[in-house]
Amino acid sequence: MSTPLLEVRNVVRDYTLPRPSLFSRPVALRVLHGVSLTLGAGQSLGIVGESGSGKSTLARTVMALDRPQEGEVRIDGENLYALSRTDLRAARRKFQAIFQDPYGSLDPRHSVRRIISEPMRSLEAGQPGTSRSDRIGEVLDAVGLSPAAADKYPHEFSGGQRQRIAIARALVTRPALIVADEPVSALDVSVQAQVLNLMMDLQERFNLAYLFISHDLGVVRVITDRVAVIHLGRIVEEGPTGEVFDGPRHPYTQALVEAVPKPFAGRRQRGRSAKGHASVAASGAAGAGCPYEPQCPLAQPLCSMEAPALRLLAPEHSAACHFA
Amino acid sequence: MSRSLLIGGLVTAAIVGMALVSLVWTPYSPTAINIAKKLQGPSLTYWLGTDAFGRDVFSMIMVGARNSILVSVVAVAVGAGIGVPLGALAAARGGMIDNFVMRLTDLAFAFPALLTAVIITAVFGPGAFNAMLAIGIFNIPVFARLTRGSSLGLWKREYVLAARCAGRGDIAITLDHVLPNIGHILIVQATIQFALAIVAEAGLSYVGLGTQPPQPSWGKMLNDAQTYIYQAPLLAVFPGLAITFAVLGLNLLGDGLRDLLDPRIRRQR
Repeated sequence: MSTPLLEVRNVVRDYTLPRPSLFSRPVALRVLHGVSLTLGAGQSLGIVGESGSGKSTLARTVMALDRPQEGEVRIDGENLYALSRTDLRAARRKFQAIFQDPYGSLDPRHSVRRIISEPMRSLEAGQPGTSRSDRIGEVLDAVGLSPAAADKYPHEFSGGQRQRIAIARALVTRPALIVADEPVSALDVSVQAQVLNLMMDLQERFNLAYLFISHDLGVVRVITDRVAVIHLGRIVEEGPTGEVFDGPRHPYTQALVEAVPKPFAGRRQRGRSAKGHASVAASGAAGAGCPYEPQCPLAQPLCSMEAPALRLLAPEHSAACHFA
Repeated sequence: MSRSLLIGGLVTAAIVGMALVSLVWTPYSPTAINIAKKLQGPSLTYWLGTDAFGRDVFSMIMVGARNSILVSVVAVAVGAGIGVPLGALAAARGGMIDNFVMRLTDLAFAFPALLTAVIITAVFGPGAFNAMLAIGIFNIPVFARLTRGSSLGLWKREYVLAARCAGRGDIAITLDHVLPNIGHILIVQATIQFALAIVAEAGLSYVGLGTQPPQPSWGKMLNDAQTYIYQAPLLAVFPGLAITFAVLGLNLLGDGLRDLLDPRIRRQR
């Protein structure tokens, strides 16, 4: 097999917590416990999990914004964290990002032209800049905005239009990978659909790969080919999106899938599904056993003694559970 | 346009205008001594009267405005020129550098500002130049703290993350994204520091450590007038009024600018 576009290998990320007092030792909180992923060109991989599970940290690590303590992130086989500053800048042309908040991700004092040209000016320095304004027009057209938008300012646009501008900025250097951290969660549902459709069109047109981070399973089902479920900084299940959501193997995935509100269902039997509620991250106290064991409805004595490894259950579908 | 911006702008413009006119014209020479005409009240010949040496008070106030403004401009420029980069550096890098810069400003804040200025001018010798430096030095921590505090939040914004994804470095992000977005805060603070510097210069000159005679200065005029407070009480009133108007005008201007430059308010227009 050829090298995948994105390969995340055993990434471990610790955050140093603020010291409780001047003289105590700094305490580290492990946010990612050895995460590995691969993503091929033109594919899309969803990352789902609850808040605090490490989704966004993973996104920042993939975008080379947050150096992990261990492990590597490879884009086209190049380890981002081993590159020199100049080489990293060259590599950044291959991956760009879209963020959650369409109001916070565009500098209010910059015109749309300046916002979109920032990656071009920075990443393509030394290359002829003659065609830049043509390219801004092209990319605005690709995201469904008129070329006249280039001379306006972010506050003149709606949330959905701003997210289109953010997509245009990510697209302008023609990256192979776009890391999208909750790109539609801040938008109205009707606008969400438009932006998702746009993202899928662009994927086809430019052969983009998406690393799509979301807590919204419905959105992930629409846009991704494969999905990885992350819980307390570990991937607990990974596989083709439909297969994982229709036949979840890990009890945490089962709880997530069941927690999606469905019209009418369960309204009469409210008391029943009390299992699988939010597990507040108590990840500091990781013992030898399965990290999900305290919340798991299926826990057996084995679970508190031995942590299950991610193992293949079906072709391309794996889960980290002794009983999956 | 708000009323405070209008009034503050007019008062400030009047004082700056007076200082500018004094460069080319004053009714009398501010240093010409005429003992025969000493301690006269306001009249058509001497608009604001004369002092104990028969010098024209109005001319002295005009030239004093020039000195006050020069000292304040340089002092605020020194404070902002060093303080803003320090604060921006602390916010951009965080960690040890941030701690170091902030402890330095704590140290500077621990000494009363005017007292420090008195010590500095006492050590390096009295004079307008040392007064500028002394007032400038205690402006540094003010600007450093303000810049750091208001940029810290911006470094967490997603547009800064996007800029980092575009491969921009800390300095480029500071110049392109951080400083333009806190510019309005800095401008408002500068007008307030400007007013404080005028008071500080007057204070230093009052105790004889600022502008040196025969150059007139508002603070020195107050000090001189003190001796004749019973014979010629108006002599103390005019420089006092000049200081009051300058400070009031600048404060109103700062308030008005804050409202004008606040992006949240601007968006609603």
